[in-house]
Amino acid sequence: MAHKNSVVPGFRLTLGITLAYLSVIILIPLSSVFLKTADMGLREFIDAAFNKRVLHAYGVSFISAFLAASVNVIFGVLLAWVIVRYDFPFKRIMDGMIDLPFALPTSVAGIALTTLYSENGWIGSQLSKAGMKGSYTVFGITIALVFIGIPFVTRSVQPVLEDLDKGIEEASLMLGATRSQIFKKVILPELLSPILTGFSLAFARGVGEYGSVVFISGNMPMKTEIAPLLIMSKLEQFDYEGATAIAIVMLLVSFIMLLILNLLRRRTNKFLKE
Amino acid sequence: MKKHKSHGGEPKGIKIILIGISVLFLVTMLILPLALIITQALGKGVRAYIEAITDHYTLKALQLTLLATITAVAANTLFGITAAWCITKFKFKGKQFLITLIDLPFSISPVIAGLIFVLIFGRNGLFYGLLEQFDVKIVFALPGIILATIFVTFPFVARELIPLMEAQGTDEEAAAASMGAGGFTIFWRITLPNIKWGLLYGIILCTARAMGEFGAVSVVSGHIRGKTNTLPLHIEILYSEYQFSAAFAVSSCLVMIAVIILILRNLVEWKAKKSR
Amino acid sequence: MYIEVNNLNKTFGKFKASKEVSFTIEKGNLVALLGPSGSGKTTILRMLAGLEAPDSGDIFIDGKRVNKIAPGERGIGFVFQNYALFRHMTVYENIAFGLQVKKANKAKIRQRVEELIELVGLKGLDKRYPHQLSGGQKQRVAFARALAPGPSVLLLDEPFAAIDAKIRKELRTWLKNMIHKLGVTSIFVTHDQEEAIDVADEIIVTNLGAVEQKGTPVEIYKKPSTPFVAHFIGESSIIENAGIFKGFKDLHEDKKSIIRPEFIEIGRIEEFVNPLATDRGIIKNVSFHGSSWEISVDMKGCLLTGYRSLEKAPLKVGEEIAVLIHRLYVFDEQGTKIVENKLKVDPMPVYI
Repeated sequence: MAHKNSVVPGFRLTLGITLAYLSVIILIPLSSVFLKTADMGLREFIDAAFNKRVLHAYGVSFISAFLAASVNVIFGVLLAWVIVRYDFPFKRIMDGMIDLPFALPTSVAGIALTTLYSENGWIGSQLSKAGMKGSYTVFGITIALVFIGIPFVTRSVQPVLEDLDKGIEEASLMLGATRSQIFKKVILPELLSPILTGFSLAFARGVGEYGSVVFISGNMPMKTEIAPLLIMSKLEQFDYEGATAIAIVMLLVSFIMLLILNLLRRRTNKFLKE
Repeated sequence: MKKHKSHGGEPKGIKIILIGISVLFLVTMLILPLALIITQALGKGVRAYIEAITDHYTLKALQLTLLATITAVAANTLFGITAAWCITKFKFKGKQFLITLIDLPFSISPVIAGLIFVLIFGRNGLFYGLLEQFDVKIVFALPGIILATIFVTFPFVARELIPLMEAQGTDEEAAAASMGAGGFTIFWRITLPNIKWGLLYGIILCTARAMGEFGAVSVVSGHIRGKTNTLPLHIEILYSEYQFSAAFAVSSCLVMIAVIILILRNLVEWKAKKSR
Repeated sequence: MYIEVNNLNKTFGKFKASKEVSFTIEKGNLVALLGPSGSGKTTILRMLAGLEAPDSGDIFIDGKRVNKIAPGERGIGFVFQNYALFRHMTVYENIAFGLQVKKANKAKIRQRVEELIELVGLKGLDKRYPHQLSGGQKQRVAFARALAPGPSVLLLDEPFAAIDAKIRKELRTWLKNMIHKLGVTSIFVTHDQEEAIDVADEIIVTNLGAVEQKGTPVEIYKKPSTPFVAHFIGESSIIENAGIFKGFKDLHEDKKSIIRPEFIEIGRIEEFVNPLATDRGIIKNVSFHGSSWEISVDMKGCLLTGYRSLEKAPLKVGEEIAVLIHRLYVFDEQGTKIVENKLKVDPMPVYI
């Protein structure tokens, strides 16, 4: 590592502090998961990380996070579009409100959503008339994850949409494209990269989310139990090995997914200057 | 006469439908939960409400939350500035990797964040023997809560500053350095005025997340009432004890804080746009 | 007339962008809309294209009123100032877009696009993305893309503004030849008078949202119909009261007149055959102008600019010299009048 042509002072100091802090807070603690896993026998590990109950919990976590992130892609693009392109009353307030899930503690969101979607709740009672259940189902988990993920796609797409050259839409208009052709062929490709970014963030957050989900899920093993919750209950039973095994699988799957999404994003970005 | 404007080109009907769907979505997803919190909080009357939020354990939890938040935000602000300075003012190999590492906590479940500190400092942990010798408790105590909060809110300030300082370049700092200014003077007089709104923005985001963190803190806290219980944890306990209106009363305070944070956020963003 | 525009008006809020704009353009002509920035020239172009709707007035193309026809149906190709290329599409895909959205047959699209790529000289670059092209190449792609659907009218908004000065001239000639070769009626917007004179068959000069004058470059230069046009096209000095000069005594005092550098001769008094027709002035500035000296002279409180051949003796700042005004433009309600110097033709022979 060498720094070139800079007269600005502080390279060694700031790099030193950065690396030290990073090590203490992130790298060393994170390595403990791997060390702990290395201590375990392979059999033991497979038993802990891939038994039926755990596999089901992974499934619930990843599927509901995927569904929620997908829902947020649709509504995120819609919200960004409406806010950037249209004028209507209370638009500013609506824009400001989008970050609420971010500012609201997840446990607050959790108990509010659970009550709202429970059988006697405002929405839950309407759902039960239609024969559906909100709280204590995978549907309820997905709702909580949608709530948590609202800001991600919207906030990634919004600035890109704002900076989009109006000329390209006019150019397509002059070439005879219809509104839907313009959206599909000209605008959407420009938004693909921020959509993927937003999706990855929402997905990663959804897979790991605990606070807002723990209440609404009901934590029924083999039904609505999510992976982070399983880690928690293993810890409460002082089963550190079991908790670590699940954690490492989640970490690896998340990293791989993020890697794939990053590669995808790079592919969609190939038309941009490096 | 038909208008062909460069944007908002959709027919009026479609426009109204799209706005309608958006508003409906936000009302069900955001407004209803908030309305519910308020009605539930006041469900047993104003007196019960005031009692719930002035309860001894609630106040203790608030104290702990503030302490953990302030410490974590201060630590991450200092680090964020340092890291952003290092990354944006110098060229070196592995820079991109460093940025990825800083972003790492975003993609790690808060529960796992808690777990790693338990693994290190808890019983059977790497440093447990050492800590025992000096009679220091980290897990199930305040330091653990602070560490977990720092981990979860780690990227916020740095992430906000890096693109901003990148865009500003190093010309002004180099000019000041060539006139003999020291590092601290350069930062204080040249860099800080340029980045103050971005910094504030990062601090606000960091504070929001730190105050509300639940999963990570839940793992390391041990849920000792009046000792290691933060506000979000306190809400969980009240709720699981079926003290619903008390849980929602405390929640309503956090809602208020969240709304204040949102207003501040928008204010800062507006200021930052204006100063650009 | 191929394009006919009648009494177009357009306001943005309180700003009147177009005032009673009317003009006609013949088929196959290359026309420049010339004016300073904010003169409403781009608004006129955008109204022709259908990107803005006029508040009132009519636009006819080939005898058909197009006001209510959608932009894409007007048979107009539009080249945008910053090209507005689709960055996620290759050169080929950019050019093919207009044909694809109209669901043309694939083989036909391929044939047409290849023909256009060949025409604009971008062979071998068809798989490149816009960011891999130079400014001039992007311009050619934008041009080919606009031509792909076979428009009968081509509109170009400041087509050379974003291009390096060095290759601008080259591209200018290229575009002019290309448009004449294709015979497509074209209008381009520019604020650069040299560009307009160089490229256009006809120039429409706009100012403050209104058309000031329309004519060939020579007409516009030689017979400007308003003081604005005279001042905007070519060099000139505005004189409030030309009656004070020798040879123009019978001009009314309140008439504005304009003097171009080539209308005056600056020199030592002994250089003039007829010194009686000259006025005295003091040289304020002398600068080298390539093929001549450019000299500013203060004459009776008016600052005039003229050229002086390098062959003649050089003059110095502060020197008192003689100036012969051969002619000047006088403006009145009817338009411009050229007034010659009355004393220039030696009056003596008449009396002898």
